[in-house]
Amino acid sequence: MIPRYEIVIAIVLAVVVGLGAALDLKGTPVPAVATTPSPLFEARADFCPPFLADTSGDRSLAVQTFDQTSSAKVGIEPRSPSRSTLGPEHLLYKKELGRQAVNVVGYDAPIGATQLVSFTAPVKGVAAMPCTDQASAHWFLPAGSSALGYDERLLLYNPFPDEAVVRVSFLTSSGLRAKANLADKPVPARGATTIKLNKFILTQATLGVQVDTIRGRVTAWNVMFAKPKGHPTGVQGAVGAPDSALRWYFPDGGVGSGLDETLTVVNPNRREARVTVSLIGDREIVQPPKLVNIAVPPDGAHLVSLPHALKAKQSHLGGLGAIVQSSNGVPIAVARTMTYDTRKIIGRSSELGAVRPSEHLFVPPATASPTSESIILMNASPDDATISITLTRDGGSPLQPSKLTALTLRSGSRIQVAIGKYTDGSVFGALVTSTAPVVAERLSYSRAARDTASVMGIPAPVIGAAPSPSPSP
Amino acid sequence: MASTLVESETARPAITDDQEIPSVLAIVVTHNGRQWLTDSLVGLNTQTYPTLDVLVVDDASTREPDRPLKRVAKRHLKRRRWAYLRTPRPLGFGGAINWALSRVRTDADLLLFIHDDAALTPESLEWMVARILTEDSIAIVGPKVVAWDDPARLEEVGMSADRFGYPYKGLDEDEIDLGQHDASVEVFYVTSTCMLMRHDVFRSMRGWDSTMKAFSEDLDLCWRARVAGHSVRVEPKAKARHAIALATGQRTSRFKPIRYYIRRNRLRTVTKNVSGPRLVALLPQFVLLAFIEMLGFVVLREPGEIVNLGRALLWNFITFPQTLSERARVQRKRRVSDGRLRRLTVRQSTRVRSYGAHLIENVGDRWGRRAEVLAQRSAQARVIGRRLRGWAGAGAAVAIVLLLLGFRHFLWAPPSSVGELLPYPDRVTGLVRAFFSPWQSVGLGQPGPAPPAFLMLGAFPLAALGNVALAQKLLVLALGVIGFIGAYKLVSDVVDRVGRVAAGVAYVLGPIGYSGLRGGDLGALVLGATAPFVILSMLRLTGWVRPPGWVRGQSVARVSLAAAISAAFVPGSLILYAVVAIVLTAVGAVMHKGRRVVPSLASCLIGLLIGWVLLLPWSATWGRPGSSFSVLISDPSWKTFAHSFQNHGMLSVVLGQTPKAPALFGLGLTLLGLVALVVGEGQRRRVAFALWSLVVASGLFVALFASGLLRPLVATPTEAGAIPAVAFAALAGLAVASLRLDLPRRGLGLTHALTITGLSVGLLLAVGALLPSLWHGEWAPGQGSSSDSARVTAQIDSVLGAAGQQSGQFRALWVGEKWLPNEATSSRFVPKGYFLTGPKGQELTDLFGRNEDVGDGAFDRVVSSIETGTTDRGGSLLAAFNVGYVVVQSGPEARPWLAQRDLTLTRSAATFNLFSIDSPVARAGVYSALPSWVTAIDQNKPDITSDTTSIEREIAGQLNASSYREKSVAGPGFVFLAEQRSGGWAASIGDERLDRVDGGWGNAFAIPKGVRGDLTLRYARRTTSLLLLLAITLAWIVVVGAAFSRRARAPQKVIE
Repeated sequence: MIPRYEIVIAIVLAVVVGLGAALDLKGTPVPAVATTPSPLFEARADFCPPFLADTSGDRSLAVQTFDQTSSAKVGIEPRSPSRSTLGPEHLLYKKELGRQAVNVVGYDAPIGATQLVSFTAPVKGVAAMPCTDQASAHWFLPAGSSALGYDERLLLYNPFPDEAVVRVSFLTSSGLRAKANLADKPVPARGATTIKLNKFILTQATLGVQVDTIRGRVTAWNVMFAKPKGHPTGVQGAVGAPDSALRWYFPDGGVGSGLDETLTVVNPNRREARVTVSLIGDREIVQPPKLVNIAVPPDGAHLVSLPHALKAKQSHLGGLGAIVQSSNGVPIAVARTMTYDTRKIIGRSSELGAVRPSEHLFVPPATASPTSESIILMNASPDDATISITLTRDGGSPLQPSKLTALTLRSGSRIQVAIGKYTDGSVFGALVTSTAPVVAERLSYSRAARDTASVMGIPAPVIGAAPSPSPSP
Repeated sequence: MASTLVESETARPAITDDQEIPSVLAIVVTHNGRQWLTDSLVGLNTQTYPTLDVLVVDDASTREPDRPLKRVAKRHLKRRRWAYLRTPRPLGFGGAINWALSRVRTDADLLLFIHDDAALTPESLEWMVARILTEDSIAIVGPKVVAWDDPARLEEVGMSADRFGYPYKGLDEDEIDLGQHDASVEVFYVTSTCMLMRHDVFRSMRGWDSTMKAFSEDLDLCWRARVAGHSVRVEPKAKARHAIALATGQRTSRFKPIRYYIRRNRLRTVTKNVSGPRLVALLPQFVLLAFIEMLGFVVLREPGEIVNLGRALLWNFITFPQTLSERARVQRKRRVSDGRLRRLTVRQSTRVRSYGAHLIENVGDRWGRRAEVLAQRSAQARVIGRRLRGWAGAGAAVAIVLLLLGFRHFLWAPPSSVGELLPYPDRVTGLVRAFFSPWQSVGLGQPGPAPPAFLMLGAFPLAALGNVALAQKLLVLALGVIGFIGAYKLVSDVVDRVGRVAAGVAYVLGPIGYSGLRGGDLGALVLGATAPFVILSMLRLTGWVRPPGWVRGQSVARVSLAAAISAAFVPGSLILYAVVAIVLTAVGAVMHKGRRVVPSLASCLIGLLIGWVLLLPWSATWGRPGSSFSVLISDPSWKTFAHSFQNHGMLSVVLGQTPKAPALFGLGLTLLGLVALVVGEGQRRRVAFALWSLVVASGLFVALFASGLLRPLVATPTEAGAIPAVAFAALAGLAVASLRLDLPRRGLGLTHALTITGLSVGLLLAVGALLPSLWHGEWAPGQGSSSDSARVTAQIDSVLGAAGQQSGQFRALWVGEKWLPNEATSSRFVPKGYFLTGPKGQELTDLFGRNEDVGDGAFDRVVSSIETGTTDRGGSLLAAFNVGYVVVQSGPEARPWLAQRDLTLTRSAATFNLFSIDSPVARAGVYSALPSWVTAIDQNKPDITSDTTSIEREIAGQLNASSYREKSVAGPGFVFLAEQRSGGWAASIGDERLDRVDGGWGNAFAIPKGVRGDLTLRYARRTTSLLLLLAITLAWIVVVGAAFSRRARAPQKVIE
């Protein structure tokens, strides 16, 4: 006989268990909260490469704030300790920078900076070399060559207080090429090192460069002086990619008479990458069959020549943007090289693709003496975009011509907007605002240098954005 | 003999012709001393000295109507003029004399004070008077005191004392009087047994100190006379027999406890009579000595004496103003320095020798009983030894091997640095020092009070003889052993030994130890170790089990003690225990009708309240933002803790599940718990109900925490699982015992089948879950990967340590989940993904940081600036916080840190990046202008930061966490202390106090031009906090004493 009080207690306990079980099943788990305090203030540098020692030419610097409402103070260190005030929608343009690498420091608001270089020797030409705020243990520079007529230089700048030691290796179509005398190249603290790649590797038409730091951190650019026989000459310059990524955007490009576009894909991984290149015309997306699932060997590079990949009837499509994406999840790095040999434009340019579309972009000038120039916009988002372009200059009020406002760009399309008639040979920056994420690129032609230069738009930094993953090669 | 021999005479000092024979008034104070009074009065009556009057003062003795004292006096003082007075209430020896002299008119030149149990030989007074008249400076003369029954045995020939007023006879035990002390000597004091004193001196000294009531007032009187320039002598020709009735237990004192009066009067005597500088040195020593004595009594398990000592200190504290007033009067009359008096006192070493001899004798006395106990223990050991032969021995050996196997990754690994289970500081006393420091160096620094957990943890390095690596292992093992003992004792009242062992094993190998150790959840481990004791005491207080001789007060003390220890690590445990008390009381009320509910519940809650009081003043800060309890219930941090209860609730608790613990083990215990409920009979069955009630109540709370309906009172599910784990372990013990004791009484049937099946399956599940985890050595911090993690941490720590030796004090910032606890715990809550340590890396002193002050806010914004990429001058910004190194976990999160232009990448490994900062702001430094980065952070102006303010001088002389000193500092300039801004910090150069100026997050002081001297920078401790600390220490001693006092004590002889 069970005592009555035991039954009472058992019932009470059963009821409580039932209540608790109901809470278990019906209750909503409490989400964890992450509190991020507001940042203290803006004080951030863009690292700009030095001017090559054994060359002649000139360089200048264009700096712009991303914010259209607040001004910033800009210091160019260590060259100019005094700080210039940079108002909103204004461009700061500086010449006579010397040959040293500089840090362009923006206080109070984020800034973007690009270095404009023009060479007279060894090859006449111009190039835009974006400054970078990234410092990484790995750099990928896909567009390169050690073929006859090409002289590629690797610029390594270490803006940090500790000496860096790097290992430079080459990603070729036949795989990785490592050289013992490039295995531990020192880069002094707050100093730069230039490497003439032709000294280290025999002829390679496709030559991606991978820079790995053994110690410390560096920033990397490459400059290529091209003087191939039977082809336009010029200077190509680009900043390296600190990360590989799955998707790369190239708003500019094209096929047709006098145009030659190649895309160099490097795969710094131990797995083969499968890459698809989609072409975006002014009205339609073109997907050439030959550009689907292209195999890029592990630790190797692959050159995609658009004229060769397109069918004959597609070879006169004109302006074409490109989206290069890895279809098997292996991250890659991609750069595009354009060669112009038309009646209006001659020269060459190379540019690393963009990885992040944005609603706000600073499109820096590409050359200090533009004869003609245009901004190419590409909308890779699923939404149509309405875009406005504001042209900014040093010492003058910004321009916002009506033809550059309320531009409509459909999803999956591109547009080339000529701005030469507004800039009229002067240095102008451009601020692009859009209702949907877009990528932008600027193409400039300098008749004086008989060369073209292109530069990607720099997306405005997103405060608090998680850094993109950096898979180790 | 203790005194200094100054004179040796055999002839009686004569009264010269020109001297009048001085009149003497003998004052006999009696209190219930009729047994000896007759002899005493006869002794006075038969004195050869002619001019002697006698005043008998009855100090409120118990009245005997048929034989009044007055009649006794009349009968035995026929040859003398005499008087009789009776005090209205007991006043004590001195008080009674003062009272009597205020009521009689006497022109006596000399006063003879004598106890009622002392009797003089006929010529004694004559000798004493003659002696006192030899020199004007002699104010007091005492006789040779011999034993009452055996006059050949010496009791006293003048007394000496040490600096603390402890008396010293200078005689051997039972020393025979062979004339070896027959020289009139100057002594420090004579006892009130019998003393002759000049009346005028007595008047000028305002008589006895009646406040003292009893004991040590003779020392005080003589000491005052000596300070005033008089001397005290012993006259060996005068002889008094003394029965020592009080000390020998022949009568009891009205003033009890004796030790209390002795201690309080000694401290008062010392306070009144020693010189000022000596008093400053002596008082702390006296108090310290009292605490050491208290600890001694803890060991001897005599809590009453601890209370007496505490009362004595408290009495002196309360009467301190009056004592000071008395002291001023004494010191105004000072004619002799302490230095001159010192020749009459004994050195401490002499007293220690004497005490040692006394102790040996005492131990000898007690040896018989100890030997008896030892014999019992030996017999028990032999019984255990016999039991461990055969299968039992083999089983024990296998268990030991399995335990060693299971714990191998912890026992043979470097010190763990996981969760709260952090390495001990290199300095053995590091944690103890941190506890006593008014400034805590955790994070950017924070003012006290220090967490008492530091003091508790600080005992282990001492126990490990300074081996801090061993200390951590000792700590964990000790917690395991305590947990086992707790679970063993929890069921000891209702089950047999096998059941107790089963409960102990089920508990120590259960989910709390497993999850707690793997997660480095020190709070859970401590809570797990103490919870069985709290629950046991509450079971007794609420009447579920009460062994014979149970004492309520002892159970309350045990609740207090265990609750205080667990709340020192897990503050919310006090509330959980309160719930336990309520549940046990409520269920008990249903089960046992008519039981008094209120006293039971009140006892439990009072115990918990005392537990909270024991943690004062730290526990008073639980409501402060960022404190270890506040983070559990404040917005938004509570959500972090509630989130950790995800996928946990009523069902999992009832099924014996604790996150990250072997699931099958929990299921096995649940089955055993059901068996206990079904099979158990009588008391076992009722206790099983109580334990199941605790499980269900815990389940409900966990469900409420998980759903967010109730903010979590404890940080982790492991901590919340402590009470159900105790209950399940106890149920397992009950199940085993029920099988052995209750099942055989039942008739063979379905119950047998179900019970044996349930028990078999339960044991199978439990053992099946345990064996693989033991085999894989899963009892180790860091989810079993502790050795790798510990090696990485040790590698970083060694780099930091080496840097610390070269560059002095700096902070290290640790960024990344790798360094964070697997689960947020209340004492180590790191919500922002980074934390600061000292140069030695993570240590136990880094627990209990609040991280909610002004500097913390600024620091958080700096780190946020770095991580969100708005700045690349993080090195300079961090340098302003005295950060010298940054340890960042490798991976994408390291990217913004790698982009900092002023961080030097010192080491880059697969798992971490170590950055150094070239010249961090010194922890304390002297500057010509305040460091620009500090100003930049404070004013939010990045563009003023290019000017680098180089430190002029780093203050190298850090004495401890709360004080710095530097020699020869000259103004103008600034002192900047890189510790959290707090008004408690003060700086001075020489005698000049420096003005505080705005120093941003830190503390800054301006040095005026022309000021030069030694700089002192200190965080002052408040006197009140010291007193509170003393009071709390006393409370701890009292509670520990009460918790472990013996149930039946043998009568103790007070030896003084």
